[in-house]
Amino acid sequence: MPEQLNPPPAETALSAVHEGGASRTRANGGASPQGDIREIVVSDPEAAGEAVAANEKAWQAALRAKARGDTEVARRVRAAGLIGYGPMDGSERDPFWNRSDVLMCSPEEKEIVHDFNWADEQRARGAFDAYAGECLAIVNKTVLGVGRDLNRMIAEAAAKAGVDENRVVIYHVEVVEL
Amino acid sequence: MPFIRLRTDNIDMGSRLIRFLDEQGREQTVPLLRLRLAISIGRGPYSAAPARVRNTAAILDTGAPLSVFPKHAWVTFANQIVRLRPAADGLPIGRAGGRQFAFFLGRTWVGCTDPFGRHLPAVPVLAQFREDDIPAGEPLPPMLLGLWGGILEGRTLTRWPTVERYDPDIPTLESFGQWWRLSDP
Repeated sequence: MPEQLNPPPAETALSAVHEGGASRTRANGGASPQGDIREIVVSDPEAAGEAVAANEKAWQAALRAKARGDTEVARRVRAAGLIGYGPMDGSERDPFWNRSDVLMCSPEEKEIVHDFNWADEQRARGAFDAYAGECLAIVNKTVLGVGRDLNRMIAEAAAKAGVDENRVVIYHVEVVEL
Repeated sequence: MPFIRLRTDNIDMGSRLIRFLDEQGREQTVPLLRLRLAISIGRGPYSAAPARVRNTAAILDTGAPLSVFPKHAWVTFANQIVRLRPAADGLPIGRAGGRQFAFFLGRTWVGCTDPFGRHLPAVPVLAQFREDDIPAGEPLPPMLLGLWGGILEGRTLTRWPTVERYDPDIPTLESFGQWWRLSDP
């Protein structure tokens, strides 16, 4: 097996999500409604599904609301069939997936991954439209610099955030060329 | 078997959407999809990558013969590039996105991570390193990871049709009917 930086612990959030049975047990006992669509999803996921399935924008809004919420709600939505299990979700049903071989980033590096995911969500919402074609320097889900001189942006963002330069995420807001 | 999943991102910027009426007269929208992944530059494990040479995004473009790094990006990891001498005289000229550019050929190490915190170890990537400066006001080109001599070497790229609309664990990650995975043997 190649170098293993940080073996995937069974108790990580990601692993917990993949443990279908255990997760559902916790979901049944520990969900806490936090308002709007998530209340409906938690209390009556089937009805919520019917309510939003006919309308694409409502569907996406519901899923984004869920994404901002906790993982218990996400599991309930999945249990309601609004989004399903899939062969690529890392579950044991994937015949090509072997949990012991997967190389995971360290917890510190996962902070960087979370910043990437946040940036992707912001771009999908249109929040980065004004930065089209430019690069962003991001730390802790905060845009600390915009431009194209990456060395300078990284140094300034690291100084602003008080972190090592290695912690700065550079995110390119790509423009489609058709 | 180490693997990462690739994001299939719709990178439309609103006004660039392509809309059409299908055979039933219903309005449809064409997603402008790209395969995106986060990369790190440098040999060795992800955490050992030198400063300023990781945490950047790139496009996996199987339509590109080679990987291409624009200047604004590679100047941040110039000390990680091994320049290769051309076998013939003359300045090599490449083309991407309708623009011609001068470049030098080089090799650097590229590792990659996915939205779930998985990563694949760095491998040597032969690439074109663009020498041109993009004028102010024009969009910066992305880093392209091409078909040959790059992160696909010795690895399996899988496209997996799915009826899932969204990822179960990252609900904003839309499938567009396809999941992708890059795996080591």
